[in-house]
Amino acid sequence: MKNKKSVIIALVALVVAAAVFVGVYFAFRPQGTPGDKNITVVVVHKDGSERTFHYNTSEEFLAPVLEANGLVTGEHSEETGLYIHYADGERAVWELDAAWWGLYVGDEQSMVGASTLPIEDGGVYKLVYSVG
Amino acid sequence: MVLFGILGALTFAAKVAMSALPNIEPVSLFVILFAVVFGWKALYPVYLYVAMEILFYGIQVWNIYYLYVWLVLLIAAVLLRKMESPVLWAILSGFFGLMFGALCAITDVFIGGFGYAISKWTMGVYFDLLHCGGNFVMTLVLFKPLRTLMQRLYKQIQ
Repeated sequence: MKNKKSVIIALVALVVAAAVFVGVYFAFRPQGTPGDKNITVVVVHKDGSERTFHYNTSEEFLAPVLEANGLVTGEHSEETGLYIHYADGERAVWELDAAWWGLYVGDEQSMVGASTLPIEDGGVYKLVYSVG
Repeated sequence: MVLFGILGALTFAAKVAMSALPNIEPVSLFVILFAVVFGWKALYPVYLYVAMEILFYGIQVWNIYYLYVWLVLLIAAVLLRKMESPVLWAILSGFFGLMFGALCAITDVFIGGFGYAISKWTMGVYFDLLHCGGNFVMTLVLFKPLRTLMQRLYKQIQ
């Protein structure tokens, strides 16, 4: 009887904790803005040179804009979305180059990948060749 | 010691085998089983598994997470090792999965500050929920038969 009570209490506690986490997820998940947006994408290459691209799009997240305009190619995974291999024709693949394409919103490093980064009208996004 | 080596390697292999499923992993179940069957000696196979992960995937920030995250589950499991109910073990495993991101966030506080840690944790909550569900179901189904098997095997070699 005591054991059954412990199981029920523990199960309820787990369900409540999971429900709280579900609430956190819905409160903080990246959400896109519908409608037309003008954005700027800056690619900073390995040699330090920069190329700037301007796009007008109705997409809500960054990855589809970059791919549709041929600026990036890469690998898609369910867990992390788009892993950018090439940006503006230059490769940065960790396993091959010990480098990667860092994603920035303005000058701040993005906490999410391009697939889940919501874009805003007037936003500036940078792909920076990063090593180490 | 040979047995612990094999079990550590088996844990690594099982995780690789399930790597296609995001955050669904057998490691939590194995850590619990090792703790229940071997007590504090479970540290050997668990840290052998951690060493294999680092050797295979390289030196990165997550190495730091791995140095203490599994230890948290191991300590809890050793302290509760008299517990019989597979449901309670499944709940412990589920809680651990749910808290995995938060435990990793402790290191992120020192890396990028509190804001960075909170931001990174909330972005990963979806995967923590998957981790919770996967751990719960796997432990619920497999804890009892695997514990029986491991206890029998351990008795034979002692």
